[in-house]
Amino acid sequence: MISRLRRSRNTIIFGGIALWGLFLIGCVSVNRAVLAPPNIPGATFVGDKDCALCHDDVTDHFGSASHAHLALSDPKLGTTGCESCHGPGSIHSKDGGGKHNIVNPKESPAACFACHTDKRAEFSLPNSHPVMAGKVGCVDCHDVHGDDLGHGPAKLTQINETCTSCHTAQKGPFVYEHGGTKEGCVSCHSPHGSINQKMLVARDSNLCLQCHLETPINHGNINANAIGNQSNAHTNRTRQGTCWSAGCHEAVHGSNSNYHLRR
Amino acid sequence: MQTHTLPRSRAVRALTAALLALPGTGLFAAATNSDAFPRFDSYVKVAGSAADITGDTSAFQARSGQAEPGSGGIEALHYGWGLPKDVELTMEGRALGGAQDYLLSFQLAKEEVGSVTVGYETFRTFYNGVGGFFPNNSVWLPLDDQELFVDRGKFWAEAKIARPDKPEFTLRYANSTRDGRKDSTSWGTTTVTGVTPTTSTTRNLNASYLDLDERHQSLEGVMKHTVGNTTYRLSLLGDWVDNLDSKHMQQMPLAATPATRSTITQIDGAETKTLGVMTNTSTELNDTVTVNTGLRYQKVAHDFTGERRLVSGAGVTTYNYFDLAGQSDAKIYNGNIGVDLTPTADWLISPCLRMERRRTETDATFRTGTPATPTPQIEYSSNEEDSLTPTLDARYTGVRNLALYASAAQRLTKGEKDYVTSFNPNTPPAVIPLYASDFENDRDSYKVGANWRQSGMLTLRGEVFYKEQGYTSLGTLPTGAPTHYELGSEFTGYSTSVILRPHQTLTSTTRYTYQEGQRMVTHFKTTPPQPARTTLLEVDAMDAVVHRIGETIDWTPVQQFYAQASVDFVFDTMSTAYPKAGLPANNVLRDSENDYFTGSLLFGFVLTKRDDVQVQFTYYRADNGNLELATDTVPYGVSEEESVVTVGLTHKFTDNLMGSIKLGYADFNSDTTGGRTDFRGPLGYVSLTYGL
Repeated sequence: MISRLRRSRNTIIFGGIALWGLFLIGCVSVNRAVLAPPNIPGATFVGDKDCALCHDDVTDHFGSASHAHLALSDPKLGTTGCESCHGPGSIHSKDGGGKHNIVNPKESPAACFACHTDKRAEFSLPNSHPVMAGKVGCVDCHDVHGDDLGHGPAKLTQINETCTSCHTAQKGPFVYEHGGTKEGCVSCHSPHGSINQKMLVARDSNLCLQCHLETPINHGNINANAIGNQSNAHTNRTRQGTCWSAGCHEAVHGSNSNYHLRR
Repeated sequence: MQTHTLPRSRAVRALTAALLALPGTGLFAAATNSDAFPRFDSYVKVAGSAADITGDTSAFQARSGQAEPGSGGIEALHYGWGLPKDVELTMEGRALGGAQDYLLSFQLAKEEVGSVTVGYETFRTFYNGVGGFFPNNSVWLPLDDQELFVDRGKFWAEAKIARPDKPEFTLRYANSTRDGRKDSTSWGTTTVTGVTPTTSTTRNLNASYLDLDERHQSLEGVMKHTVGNTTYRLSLLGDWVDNLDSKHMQQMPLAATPATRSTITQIDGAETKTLGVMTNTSTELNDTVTVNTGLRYQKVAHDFTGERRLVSGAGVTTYNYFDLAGQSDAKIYNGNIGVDLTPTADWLISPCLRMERRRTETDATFRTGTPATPTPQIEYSSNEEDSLTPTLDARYTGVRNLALYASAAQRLTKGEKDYVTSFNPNTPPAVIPLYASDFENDRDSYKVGANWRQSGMLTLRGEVFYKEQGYTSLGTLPTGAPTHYELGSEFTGYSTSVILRPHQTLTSTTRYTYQEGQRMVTHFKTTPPQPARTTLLEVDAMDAVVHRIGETIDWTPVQQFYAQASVDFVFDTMSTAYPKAGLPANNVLRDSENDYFTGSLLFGFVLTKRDDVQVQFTYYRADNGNLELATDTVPYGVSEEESVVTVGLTHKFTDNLMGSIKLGYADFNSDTTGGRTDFRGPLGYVSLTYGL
């Protein structure tokens, strides 16, 4: 066992030195920049005015985007905002456009992760939208450039519209709505990713009880929507599982047949 | 031990010192990037990936999104043609067999005239058909075929006419489908749990699944034109959804008596038609004032069908309901008006007001009993609500390298909600089961933040937020007795980012977010035999605290080398009944702990004029296991660990041909599933990119 350990240690040391030697040779003899994505080797910042020359359809309403808060006044370049996410644009501007010489967050989330480091972690969790696999992009859900439909909650579009444009089965309207959906799908789901199945904020009955718990202190039972009605205590029911996985309230998004959202 | 450690430590120190000294040696090639690898605007990339997985292959597929044993084909194709009269044709393609991942799209574009785009894309998402693991007796009841998947497809076409100073027209159509099978978290029942029957031996653990057959079409026409200082936009929308989904669940599959075993199948059909019209205007009154308005109307017609049947092991079919048929009609009107004020070049102030009116009517019929002797049922609901949302956004950039911003929003909603629970119209009850209520919902949110580039070395960002909500419902039961329900919630927190660049080769990005929230429920209901209450009882329903700490370090000591290290710690606790409920509730429910850690290391460096190397390591760990709860309930705490390492080489064969190879190893272990979804094994990927 010890000789194996020594052998692997020696392999690591001498292999590392050999690799180091190769790397040194590469550094001395090769004139090529490698950069962690997203970056444009050799490019410099040019300022928003250059971008607006061709992309005025985007820059015109950028002021309504939350990302406009990042815009800083630069004494040399004027306002800088676009390049915060798209990387330095000098080569793109000089070439009159192009795909390979500018960062496109639509195709790779790396640009978004540069600031939203926590989202990189969330999207790498076992239950997440397939952003890392390139099947969904940040811009599929987020209007990063703003639009002409208004600011923030005053936009014409409605809450949950982003989610139900793909998840149509959850859209309804149902005969018996779940009031929680009016607070947004994010009341229960963490759309960037979660350690819990179905991207749930919590995988147990706490998820439902955060709005439906009515247990007084030391009552001894989990009462859900049942103050004053101790026979409706849910302690024994939740022994079987969560409110929805135990076969009781399966129709969590709304029901067309049962007002307790049972099926 | 010492004798082994010292030489290694010396070697590590020597390597580190040499690496740190690199930029100052002057040995390196000048930063003209003359040996840069080619980047192609038109290219075809042929690739293949493979994995040799030991363990749960379906868990691997669901986790990685990769098909096992592998996939291959054209990973990317992009080609651009310059046609006569300045017309450009571009084509995008992808065809990866095994992963069922295909794309083909064309775009024809002419500057100052318009464009036409047509495309189709489909890809597969994998799921794992497992239910819950029960540690008492190691019960594990996955689906017979765990390997589940859903294929998503989308066809789209768009035509755009955009001539200078002329109205711009866009017509777009999309047809999206979802077809396949995925797991559900509504699990089936078993009593084979090894639990001593002092309470209940029943646990819901059996895997269940959903069959999806969904189609979503949309057709939208948009006209946009600028006349004088006003830009007008008119949009017409037609949207059609046609879904036929079903849920399948097994009950008591381990029961000794076959007749006790059963299957539940619920079928839900839905056809939804939405027609809408939307118009916007944006008028620049002068250099400092722009007025924006919008109006939108949507009419939704939703027809639904369904049934839920239970077939026992003895072949007897019973129904929760069948022949469900109903319709919902919704009319949604909303509009907004806002002003963008720029009194100086440094200020942007945007007050905005949004109004919405929503009316929904729904009714349905279904039957209970059996098809031979059915009992008809009718039900009904209506919802009317109006909301008003004033918002105010402000931004100030008057101080060099500093942006300050603030926003405030309030949403005030009032409405009425009525519903009649199902009853037999042939023998109507003396009192129709009508539940009626008036409700109010107020939501406020406030945010203040700053973005300060102190110098080229330091950028600071900070934001404080506060959100609160108050929901009140006052209603009556069918008996006429009053009901009263209130839900209040409050969330506050802040996020900070520090971007530090102590040297032009080194950047550190630190982000910390803190959020805490509370919810409180107040409820009063007088339904016999409940004791009448004269006072409302308030219950602290939820306390939640989340800390997120993230750190990313980018280091590029020389242009031929980069390193990126990233870690994220999340501490997330949601508390409801525990521990204040007391026993026996405290044995059944604990706080929901959702803590986890992720980390990644990425190195890339130049090896030769024709070769680059990239090494990546990722790690994920969650340790919230609570298997000790199995005696009293189903333990849900997630406890799992994953590590993946890959080493890749990119090689330039010619100026037009690039190749890459990547080898790696993945290892995933889950205590949540008692190791049943563990997997490990080598991964491989190879690609060739040819510049066209």
